[in-house]
Amino acid sequence: MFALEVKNLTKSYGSLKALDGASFEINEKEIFGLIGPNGAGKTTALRIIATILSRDGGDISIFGMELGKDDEKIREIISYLPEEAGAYKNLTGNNYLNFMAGFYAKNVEEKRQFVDAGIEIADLGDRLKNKVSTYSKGMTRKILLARSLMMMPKLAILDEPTSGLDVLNSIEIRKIIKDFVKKGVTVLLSSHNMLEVEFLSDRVALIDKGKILETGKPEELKQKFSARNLEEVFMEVVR
Amino acid sequence: MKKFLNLFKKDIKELVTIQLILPLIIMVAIYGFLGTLVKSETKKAMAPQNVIIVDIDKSSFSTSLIETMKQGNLIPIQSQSDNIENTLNVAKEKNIKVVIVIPKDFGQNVLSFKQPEIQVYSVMNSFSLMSIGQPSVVKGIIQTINNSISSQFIETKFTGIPPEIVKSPITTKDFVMVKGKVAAVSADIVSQAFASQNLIIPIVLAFVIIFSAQMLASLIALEKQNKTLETLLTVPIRRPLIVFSKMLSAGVVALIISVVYLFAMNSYMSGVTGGNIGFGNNNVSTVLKELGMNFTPLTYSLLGLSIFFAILAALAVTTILAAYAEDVKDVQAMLTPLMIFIILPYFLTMFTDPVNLSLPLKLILYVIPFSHPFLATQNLMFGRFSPVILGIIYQILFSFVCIMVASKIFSSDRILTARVKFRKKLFAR
Repeated sequence: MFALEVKNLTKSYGSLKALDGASFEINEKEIFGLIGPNGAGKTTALRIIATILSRDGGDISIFGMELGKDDEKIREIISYLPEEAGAYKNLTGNNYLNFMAGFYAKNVEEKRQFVDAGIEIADLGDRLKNKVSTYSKGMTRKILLARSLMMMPKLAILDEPTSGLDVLNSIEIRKIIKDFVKKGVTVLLSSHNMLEVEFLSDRVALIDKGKILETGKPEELKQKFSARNLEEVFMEVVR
Repeated sequence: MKKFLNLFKKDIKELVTIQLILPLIIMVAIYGFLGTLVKSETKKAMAPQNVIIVDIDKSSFSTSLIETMKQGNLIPIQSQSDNIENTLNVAKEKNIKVVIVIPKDFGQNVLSFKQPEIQVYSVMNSFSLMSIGQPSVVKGIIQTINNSISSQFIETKFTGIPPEIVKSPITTKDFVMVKGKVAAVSADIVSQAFASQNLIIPIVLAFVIIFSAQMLASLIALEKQNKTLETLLTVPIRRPLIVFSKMLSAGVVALIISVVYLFAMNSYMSGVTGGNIGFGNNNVSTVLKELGMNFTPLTYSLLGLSIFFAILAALAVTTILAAYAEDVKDVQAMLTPLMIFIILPYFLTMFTDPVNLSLPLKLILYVIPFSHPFLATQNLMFGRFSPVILGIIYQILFSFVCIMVASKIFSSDRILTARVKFRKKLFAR
């Protein structure tokens, strides 16, 4: 069984076709990167998979559950980190983790475990006692990533996880993601930073104008198109 | 339920901020302070006050007039001098507000029907209650003296006939009939009693509706502005519960704020009116009870339902409007039409009789779901239950449709994609 199976996904905003028959699959416990330029349809695909946007056509199943029929059950096993996400500014870091854990934990003990995991991932020390409104962009992104991963979702959907971060913060976040996959989380991430995706992903899909152009392991794609990196692969594919 | 409570608690925390609490505390403190201040000033104005008397006449009539003043609310102090200017200076120095001059031959002129004048000098140094209240107290006492003297004159001319009958040969006795019950009271008093008893209901209602609508709209707009909405929509909680949590938290906080506001206002009003307006005035209750115009458990329940569904309708409409707001600044523009629809029935029912309105205005009034609680108070008092029940049914249907639409918006793409850019549109003009 695939962790995620997307078949012939279509979505339009008025006359604009955001997704035009996109299909791909993700295996369990792998990092799958959706790469493409801005406006390629990455965020739309991720939002549909995360159950917040409807689709015009196509089928999606997540761990055997059908999107559109089992949305509430799907939301229990996924987590979504939007590209431009924020946290509640009146809450402290600790309160925010507690609040989010409250939606997933079945009991107090489990909630405590989730929050402890979140504290470890965020690694913000005493700053977790401060309000989120006082956090830098990097700190906010870390707490959001901690929120996404702390409850060990079966599928983590991360839209541009290092968006707007400096090199040090980006490296740290990539490391967190890699470590979590070892613990059994499947990750679907999108980025327009192809080098980052190449470093992180087990497999990638190249998307442009709402269509999946190529899917495969970064090494295989590089070999296939005699390219040094995924950026060159992308250039070859869209040519 | 656990997930709902989790979200509800967070929504309450989002609303109850220091920016909300601080102005509320300041407002309560100011109202409380003003109420106490006005109360103490009123008390001072009502307490027996010193007046200086310049008795130039020095007759038995003037002495008896001074004695009558003592029985009133005045403490007459005889001036040492007959010079008015000097006496006024003394009054100014001693901070005495009124000087009364009884002229020469006053007693004799009264007895010979020459209508002598008593001069009342008010020493004003402010427009406080103390300064403006004293001359009217003096004039009231002089009116009583006038009455007493004229009664004496009448008695000597019309022996055996009470002077009151000569003064007012015809009198009236007022009766009011409401719902078949008759009470010996004037329509004015009933109307005033009803207004003072029920003054608080429309104010509470307008407060709660406006506050809750603003809070709910801000709550939804904040989710968008802080970019937390996308995440919230992916957590395992049913979308209608997200809407309900926001509506309930806004309603609860608005209700608490309104109660605090009203208690503060009531304490201020009690200070101003000496307790004639406010919650639970006994005299007022007795008049209304006699006519069967008091609230019974049934009328309370119907009014409660009407108020509840008006608030629910306002919250549901707000949810729909707020879904289209991009941020908190847009919310105000979004809510302006709603505020008009809340304030319009408030004023229409306060200053006009809805029955006498023109047909288009009447239709507008009945179509607005927030009008019904304003109308319900009067209808219930006069035993007209059908329009109240029909109004509640209409409010339920209206709220249900709006909540369905709001839940649909929250379950659809529209909550993320719908945008109305007010500021940009304004600038574009």
